[in-house]
Amino acid sequence: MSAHDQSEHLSVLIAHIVKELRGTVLHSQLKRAAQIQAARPNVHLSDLKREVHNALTETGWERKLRNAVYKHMALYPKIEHPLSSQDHSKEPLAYIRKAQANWEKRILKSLNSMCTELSVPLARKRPIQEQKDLKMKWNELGTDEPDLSAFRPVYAPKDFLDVLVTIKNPNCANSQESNAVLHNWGLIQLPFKVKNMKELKEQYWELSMTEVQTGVEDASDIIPDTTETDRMKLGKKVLQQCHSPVAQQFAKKGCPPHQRGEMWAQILDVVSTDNDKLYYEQLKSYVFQHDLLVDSLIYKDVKLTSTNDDNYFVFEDYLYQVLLVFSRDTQVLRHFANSSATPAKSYIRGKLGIEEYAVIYPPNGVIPFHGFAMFAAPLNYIHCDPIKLYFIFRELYMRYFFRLHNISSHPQGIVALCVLFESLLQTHQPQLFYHLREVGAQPLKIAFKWIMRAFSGFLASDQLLQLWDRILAYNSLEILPVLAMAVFAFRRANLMEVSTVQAAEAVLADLTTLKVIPILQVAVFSSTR
Amino acid sequence: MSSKPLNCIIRKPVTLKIGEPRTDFHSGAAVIEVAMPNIKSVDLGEITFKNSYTAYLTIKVRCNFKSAETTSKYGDNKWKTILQRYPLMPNPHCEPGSQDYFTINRNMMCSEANKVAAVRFLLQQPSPVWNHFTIDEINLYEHKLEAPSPVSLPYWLLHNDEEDEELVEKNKELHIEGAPPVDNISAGLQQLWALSESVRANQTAASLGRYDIDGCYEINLLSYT
Repeated sequence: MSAHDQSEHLSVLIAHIVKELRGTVLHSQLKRAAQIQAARPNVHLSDLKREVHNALTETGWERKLRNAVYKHMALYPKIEHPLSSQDHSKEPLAYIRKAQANWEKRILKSLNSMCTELSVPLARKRPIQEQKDLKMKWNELGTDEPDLSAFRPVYAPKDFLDVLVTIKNPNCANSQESNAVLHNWGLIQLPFKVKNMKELKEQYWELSMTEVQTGVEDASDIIPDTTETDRMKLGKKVLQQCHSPVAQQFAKKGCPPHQRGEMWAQILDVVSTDNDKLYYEQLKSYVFQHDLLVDSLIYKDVKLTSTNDDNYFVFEDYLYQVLLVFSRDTQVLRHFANSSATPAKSYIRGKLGIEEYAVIYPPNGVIPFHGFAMFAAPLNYIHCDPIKLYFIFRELYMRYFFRLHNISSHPQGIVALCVLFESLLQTHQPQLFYHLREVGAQPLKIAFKWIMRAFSGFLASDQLLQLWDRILAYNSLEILPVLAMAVFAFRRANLMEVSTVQAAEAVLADLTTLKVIPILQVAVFSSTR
Repeated sequence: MSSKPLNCIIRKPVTLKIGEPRTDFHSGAAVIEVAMPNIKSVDLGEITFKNSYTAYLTIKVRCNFKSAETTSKYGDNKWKTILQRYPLMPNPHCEPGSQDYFTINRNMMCSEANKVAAVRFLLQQPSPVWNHFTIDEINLYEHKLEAPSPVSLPYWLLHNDEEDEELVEKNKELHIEGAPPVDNISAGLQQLWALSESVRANQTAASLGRYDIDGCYEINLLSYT
């Protein structure tokens, strides 16, 4: 990009961020603070601007503004060419757009057929008595045992993988077997650009064995205490700075468990103000007013996944309080600018086809699938306050997790992550990959559910949180397929002995004893290529 | 780039082959000829197109200089390169860049595209991964020098002083009994207008967060369109 283009891009970016910030609470807070500073007795009119500017920097407001700008830059959709249509800017490749559209249609059909079979409306207003009952039970929704046997999840990771495997680029010479050019042993045959080990080593260099990590040195027998105290001291200094990039850099080597909540809040710039509490209460009132079919799906999902997990069943009530509210949050719709997906549309009963009565269903545009609740479950270890927990979950979903269940060509989309996993395994563990293929156990079939759920529910909870530290710190989901490959490499000896698919799955069924960071370090930094 | 694209005839890409025309040889190179029928010569400003799996692009133009102006002995038929092997796909084997929109403007060209009579696009795709490669939606735009827009001078600078006095006398006759002077009214109105404009400019686009329509959110089925 030439210098002229860059400066143009910068001014567009600045104008967009200013417009976004104008609508936030921070804007009025800054104005008020500036007024207070300007009214001080020793401020002269001639250098008012400079004095107020310095005063705002000293009192910490400039730092808050910086955090807000950093956050918006992370969510800003990239500048598109003036000629590209809206569809093209969401997803440049035509065949991927088509695959995503077909997938969405399939989900809609599944949801509609569930509606008609069970004669349950997608959404209805609750009668007053029912609203009152729900309000009383809000803090113990887990004790409710509604009959959900007729409901089934809309889709599971296995179904999604079946769809991904069928995606083919029509222009790719691989389509005819005789002409095959891509020599991938795996399931996904798409020419996506993924990083090789050398590039991953550069990206994740702070994870290397020569750097002190939380999760490695403080778990060993030799010098646990000093490492932990050192990290905590540094963490305290970082938290006092209240600066998102600094917190993000600190998290690259892991967060001490006690400081994790505050650290994540700073990285994601989630500041819990009174306005946020009011907003949460407003969403809660929406839960009382309307009953959605999606609520039953969430109930069922929580009962099937989180309550059966030793680590998370105690948090069942909190999960309902987060997920039911999440479905009604229209702020989540903003993330669709960065996504290849489009939210499902519907019409108010009786007004089919009239655009003024078109609504988005569910209000946040996200239809949960089997295992969706597991995105929120680990966060209960970080915050006990459901309101702060909710805002952190929402931010995590809007930045990262939405990419795990939409078909897109984005380098961190689930398709690219699968290609990365298979290419890493084929390059660095060719014997293992070949053996598993011969046995009939394609590695991606086993690893896909780990990647799609970001390993939630498969690892021990403290290890999972250390993994998610790195997702936030390096701002990338690529660590998920790298870890998947590292797990296969770690259990290689047992896997080479298997001769059936079931045996392979049994070797990899239980990951709760794994220590995530050491096996990542071995896989990435001791490879010779 | 607000101007209309130039009227041109774009021929289908011709794949370059070596040796016998009937041998099946994928050279990975193709040429698109663009002729401009009604235009004798034009200065090119911008070229926009949509890529379809082309890795490198070279653009050559044939300039229409009068024979006295050229020093080259080839005269009018020389093809000049204005863009040399520009990468459209950073990695020819992989997807990024394969279906993107591109704009080539004058800063990116290595020589001046003045008095252009015909354009040739040379497409290269060395990777065997792809079946077809081309570029679509080609549009050429003329280079217009920015003429300085006429600056509007204030009324009082252009106006003749003699006529002014007559108008002032006329204004004095329009005085209405009991009403404040016209200037005060107009000053007050201007302040009101300025206030309303500043409020309008500060309106936030933040949504209220309501997902229902007039309190109603009764939905039966999802829509497929």
